[in-house]
Amino acid sequence: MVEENKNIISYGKYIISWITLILLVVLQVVLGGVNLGANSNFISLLLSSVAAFVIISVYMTDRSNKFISNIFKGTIVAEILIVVLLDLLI
Amino acid sequence: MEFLESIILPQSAQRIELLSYLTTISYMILLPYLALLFGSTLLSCMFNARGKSHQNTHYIKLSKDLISLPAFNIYASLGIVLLPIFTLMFAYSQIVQVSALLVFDNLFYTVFLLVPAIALVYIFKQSFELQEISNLVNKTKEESSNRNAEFSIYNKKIFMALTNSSRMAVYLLFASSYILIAAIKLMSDTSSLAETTTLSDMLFCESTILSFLYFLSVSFALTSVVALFVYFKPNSYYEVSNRKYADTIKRFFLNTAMIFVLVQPIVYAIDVMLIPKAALSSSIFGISAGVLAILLIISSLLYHMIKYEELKYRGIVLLLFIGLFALLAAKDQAAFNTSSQLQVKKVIKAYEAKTVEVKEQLGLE
Repeated sequence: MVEENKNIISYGKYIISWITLILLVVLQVVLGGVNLGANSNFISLLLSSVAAFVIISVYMTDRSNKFISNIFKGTIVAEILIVVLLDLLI
Repeated sequence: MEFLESIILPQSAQRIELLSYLTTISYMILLPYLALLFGSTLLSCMFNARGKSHQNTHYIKLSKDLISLPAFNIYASLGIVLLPIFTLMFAYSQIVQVSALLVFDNLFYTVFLLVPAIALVYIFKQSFELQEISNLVNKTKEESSNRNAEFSIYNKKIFMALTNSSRMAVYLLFASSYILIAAIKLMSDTSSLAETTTLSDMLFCESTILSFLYFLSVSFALTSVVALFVYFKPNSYYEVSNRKYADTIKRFFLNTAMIFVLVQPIVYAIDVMLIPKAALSSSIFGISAGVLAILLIISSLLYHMIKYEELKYRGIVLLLFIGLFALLAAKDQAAFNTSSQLQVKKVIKAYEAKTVEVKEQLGLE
């Protein structure tokens, strides 16, 4: 018996994630011309982390293997937390 | 917002050009989504009220279907609305520097209207689902009268949540869209930036009111076209399950799209006539010709679909609407580029002076 593929994602989801990624890049480029002082690195890292989270949660999620998907997502969440902590400490 | 002066750096000519392209991309994404959000919320609220007063289940079902169109994921909705607004705020403040202070302030306040509006749209959508569950419980002929009484209170609360959230969402979306359109209109005529000092100057001028009317007509037409595209996919639920309901909504959306597409050329022509001389250029007229051509093609296709009661062009019409929004975004940006030339020259001069100063400090010259 052929198993149903659980990883089929609708086109709508692809388009929305693509638009979100474009917007994140656009905002990153625009913020490049703003003097945010010590927060500059924090904001660009945060925006990159959000973009990475979108990519992982849409394109790298294996619904048949939740363990692997959670490891990927957990890595990005940990990265965001480290970025926030570093900004608070430094 | 005095901090703006200290954080915005003077920009080079190449970077200003890049920022101009990025603002166009932001408009191309923000305006269609905001139009869809506003149009579908307003129509949904209207059908919900009509369904309640006429006790018509088709209207209530249509109201629920309409609100599901823009409300697919709350984080995605917030991202699609907030990221372009932040982009516009910082991009404009870099291109025309402190002259854009009023626009920066108002776009910032718009965020505080849009976030609750989106949250209310999702509450409205969730309330529909809760109401369905509550109706199911009432249908199961529960013996206990206490439970029936409990559910009648629960039903009333859901009804209140539905009515209040939809109304508040419409009011907030109306206010935020109006302020956003006013800000875009003000930026497309930077010569009037010095004279416009208060919020009322920005909001209550004829060009803003007319642009908002145009936005309204586009939002209703776009909502209808998106609804036709989403609901009438081959073998979709609407095609197969309920023929009478499908025919009703097909007729309603085709007629609504047609009416609001036919209104657009008139409003657009008056809108172009109100563009100040300082913002006029050959590209504005070229874009206007493109907009009118697209509207002509859309109206012909809609007429064909109404006449032959078929929907085979609904995909092409949606694609043409995306093209229409791209042209509208390009038009606003072209008007801004033309009218802001003097401010841009000042910014480039400041950039060159700053470059010389930095080079001298580093001992390079």
